[in-house]
Amino acid sequence: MIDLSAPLQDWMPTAWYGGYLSGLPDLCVGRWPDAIARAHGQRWKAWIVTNATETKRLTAALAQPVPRKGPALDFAAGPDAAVRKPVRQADDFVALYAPPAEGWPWITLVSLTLSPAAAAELGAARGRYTWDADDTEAAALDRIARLRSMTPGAPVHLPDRSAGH
Amino acid sequence: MTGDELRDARRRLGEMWGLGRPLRMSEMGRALRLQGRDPGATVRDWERKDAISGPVSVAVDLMLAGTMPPDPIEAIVLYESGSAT
Repeated sequence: MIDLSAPLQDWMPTAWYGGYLSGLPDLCVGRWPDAIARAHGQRWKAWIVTNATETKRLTAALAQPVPRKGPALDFAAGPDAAVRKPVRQADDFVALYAPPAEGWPWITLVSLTLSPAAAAELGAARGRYTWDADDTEAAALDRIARLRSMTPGAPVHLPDRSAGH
Repeated sequence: MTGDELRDARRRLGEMWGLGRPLRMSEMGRALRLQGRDPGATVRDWERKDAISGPVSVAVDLMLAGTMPPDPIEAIVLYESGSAT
């Protein structure tokens, strides 16, 4: 039985994915406990981290219990608040992040300049980012191929395969 | 069960579970273990079309009688930045 009142890092394992090119944010990816993953249809949660201050804030938040709102977990007032500020100045791109260790997903991050209404409609993080997780590189590349028709003009960044992934 | 009755059930369950507001459609969908990225869409359809199946109405009546759903409330109701879930 998971104790959801414990510090977040005790019940949600996380992995950091480094931004491997200038302008690519770091990602902190967490694995939801089974009960939450099943209910939400999502195994992963991702935070998009754009600088060292945010890294410090998010790391501190992961070491704390998630605040409560009534009986529910309030991520918005907890770790999400560390990396919530809208990112206004950023390039448009599609970027693939390789898993930093076995058992973690491939992440496809899309950065697009969006109106506030479009960002809300898409559920875009920080006003511009959407992401998806795939178990295999092939599935991620297939996703990127499909995304390209929806993001014409946005460059696609792929990790350096010679770097050990 | 009609669409209006399901809507009222969301209101009552939100109060019973201490949320201080009606259960959202997505939360009702998760309580019922509906699949997909937007389980609330199915609940929306049920309420609009007055098309609630027998098994769903049984599950909702059980929850209204005090039976908690098998998944913890924390799995059903989750506040995240940029989402209304």
